[in-house]
Amino acid sequence: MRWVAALVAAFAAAVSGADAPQFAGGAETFQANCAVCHRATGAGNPGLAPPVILDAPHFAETAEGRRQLAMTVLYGMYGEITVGERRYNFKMPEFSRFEDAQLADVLNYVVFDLGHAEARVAPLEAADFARERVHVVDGAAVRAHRTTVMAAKP
Amino acid sequence: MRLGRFCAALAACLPAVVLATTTPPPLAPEHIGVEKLPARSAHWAYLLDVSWNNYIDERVYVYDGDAGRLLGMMDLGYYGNFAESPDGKTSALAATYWSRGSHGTRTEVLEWIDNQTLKPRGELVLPAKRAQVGAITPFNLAYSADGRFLYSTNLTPTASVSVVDVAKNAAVAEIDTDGCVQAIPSALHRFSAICENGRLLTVTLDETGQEAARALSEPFFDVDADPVFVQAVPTPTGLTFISFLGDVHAVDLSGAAPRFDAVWSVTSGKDRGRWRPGSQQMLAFNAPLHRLYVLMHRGGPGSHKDAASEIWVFDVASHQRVARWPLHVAAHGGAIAVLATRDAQPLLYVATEKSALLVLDARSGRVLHTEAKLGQSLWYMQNP
Repeated sequence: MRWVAALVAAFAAAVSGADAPQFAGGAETFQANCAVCHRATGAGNPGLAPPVILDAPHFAETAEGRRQLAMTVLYGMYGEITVGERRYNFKMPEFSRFEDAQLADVLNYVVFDLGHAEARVAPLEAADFARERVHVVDGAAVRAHRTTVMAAKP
Repeated sequence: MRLGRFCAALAACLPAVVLATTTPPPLAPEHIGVEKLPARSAHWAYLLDVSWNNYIDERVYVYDGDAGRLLGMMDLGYYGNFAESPDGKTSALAATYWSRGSHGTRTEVLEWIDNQTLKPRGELVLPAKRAQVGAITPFNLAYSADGRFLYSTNLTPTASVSVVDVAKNAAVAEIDTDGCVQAIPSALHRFSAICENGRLLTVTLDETGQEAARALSEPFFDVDADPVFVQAVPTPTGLTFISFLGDVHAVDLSGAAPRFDAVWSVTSGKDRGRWRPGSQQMLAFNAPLHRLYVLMHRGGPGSHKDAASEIWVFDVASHQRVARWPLHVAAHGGAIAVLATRDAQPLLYVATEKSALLVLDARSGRVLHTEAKLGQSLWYMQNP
């Protein structure tokens, strides 16, 4: 596993310019589970999976946006969306098998290490995910919620 | 009692008598060894059997279309990719194996096969992200024109191309293709990949195999309105794609940038949308005759994987259909792959759903040879 850790550190250093990611555990989870589709830098895979570094840092700034982040990893997402200039129409799998703290860690890695959210943004916490587990929804509903979050964007 | 003793004695003798009269003469001693293939002919073909019912056991057959004879076989593991070196001396096979057959430790390995004996003579372990592709093309694994580099495609589904330095037997670079897939070789050290927006990404390598430049073309087809099959057929200057509705997109890769010929169609009038190209390897091309062979079936939207009931033959200069060859579907199943040999008296190989192999005269369509069943599932064929 040492080479995995080294790889993760190398990726993190490459994308952030720092020696180590702020959320190292999240980095490892991301590279092992998310990078296959969203790429190691989170820049996305055209035609398949959108970049995670464009919207996630902004979602983390609002209550509904943070709900969107939690819902997306807990329940996946299904249907066409536009991110940046590109359209995507796929089915993101759900990751509810992970502990809440681990999900918080990986999203914080996306929001802060990859997405460079401003320091005033509060990191996500395990409780953000525990709350969403109470209201089980499907991937289409996650997409619908995303539409409302995007519409409310300043 | 006397009769009983006689019968017992007779019974005791019978096995010896029977043995004495049925034992064949001793066999001549066998000499076990590996034969070398004879000098290759333009009419040979590599036939890729995906072994549909036991996918971990794919093979590549070497077949002589003139003699109607299977010459040899190479193991291709699970979802293997196949390429032949430009000098014809080596086959490169990139495949997946597990330590316990269908489970256990996964290994991606590139094997170098001696084309005279079909024996492995070396290998290179690849990262466990090699593209395992159902739509088999010559561009999942491809040599550079000079044979120095081998391009091995990755898909996790994040797409990239591993550049293997053949002489060093080492992967020297991994090129991120930004969601574009395949490695279509051109020039000396350059490859193109097909992108989700209908463009071609072209990456030029330096002398060490690292990326030196990249360029993105204008879109050459409409992904939403009428996508092309990724199973393009190589031509002397590039390759030719066909769309789901039958539009022909010829691409010239011989210049500094891809050049896209004017689009023409194999379907028109009442045929358009009712007759469609389809299945696995639906295009074949022969340069000396200027012929494009297309596997066609009658079907509607979504039928792009259906097997063919006819082969339509086109003159690529005039864009006119010059022949329409119905296939004996009841006997062999529909056609799923087609390959033309490269010479001026070409053969046309046709593989079917029942894994029959038909060898036709590519000028007349006359069936010269039929294998009622060769292997299990012939999905792809390639010229030597």
